[in-house]
Amino acid sequence: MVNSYKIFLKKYFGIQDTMESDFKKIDNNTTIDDFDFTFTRGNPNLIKQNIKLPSESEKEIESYLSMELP
Amino acid sequence: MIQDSKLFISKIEQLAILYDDVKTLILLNENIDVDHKIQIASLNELRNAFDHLMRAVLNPEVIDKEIDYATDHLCRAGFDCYELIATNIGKSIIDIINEYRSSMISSVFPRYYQVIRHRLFESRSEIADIRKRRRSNSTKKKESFKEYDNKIKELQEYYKELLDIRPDLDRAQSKSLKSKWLDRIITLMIGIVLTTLGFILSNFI
Repeated sequence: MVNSYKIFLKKYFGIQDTMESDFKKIDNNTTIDDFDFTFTRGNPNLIKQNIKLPSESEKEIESYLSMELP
Repeated sequence: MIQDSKLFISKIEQLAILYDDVKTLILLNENIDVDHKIQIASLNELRNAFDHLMRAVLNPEVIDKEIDYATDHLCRAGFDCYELIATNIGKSIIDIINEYRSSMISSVFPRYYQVIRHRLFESRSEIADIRKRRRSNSTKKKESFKEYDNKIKELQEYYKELLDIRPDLDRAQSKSLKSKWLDRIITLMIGIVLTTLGFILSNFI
């Protein structure tokens, strides 16, 4: 997890792309295929498995808020 | 580029404090997440905040505006984390409670039904309310931050309380299982004795 965290930070905080970033790039409609893992070190599939997309997080929150309490 | 570095540093001091809080929340959220996954939404907000910070350096004439934008993004990163932390703690409480029968919880941990269950229900409504308000009112973001913080602390207290009482719940559950098996064995033995007696009575007397 730590490795993929670092790779993610390197990729998405890289100076070359930061100044031109599109603020709408990552939102609830973002899918895992929207990410380019071509130049990441390590196993891209493993990195993909360690990522929680915004839509997944939203679903989790909504499901908790509507969950029946025991 | 920025000429007065002292001015710039003074402007980003508050941002640094906020960043430190948000970073702690991101790490806490990753540790508390059942799957230990990296949450992209909050990291994206950090990235956006970094963008505005760099813009402030490159365009000092709009430094205040850019730092305000960066603050907004950091707040959003914090909100995203708070919501997931609350969700994960709440779910963990529910998962543990679901392992035990309600009669057992009532006798070993009555506070769950007396206080905690009710507060869990209320806190979910409160979280939903903060979610709604923070999206519609951008000027009160920092206030919402405090509200979330209080909710998380309260949920953490309940979770800790439940973890502390869990060994007692396990003991009660195991005792109840033993007594259930003992009841079954006694019933079975009585059945065997009665059948044997019936057999003897009908065949030999």
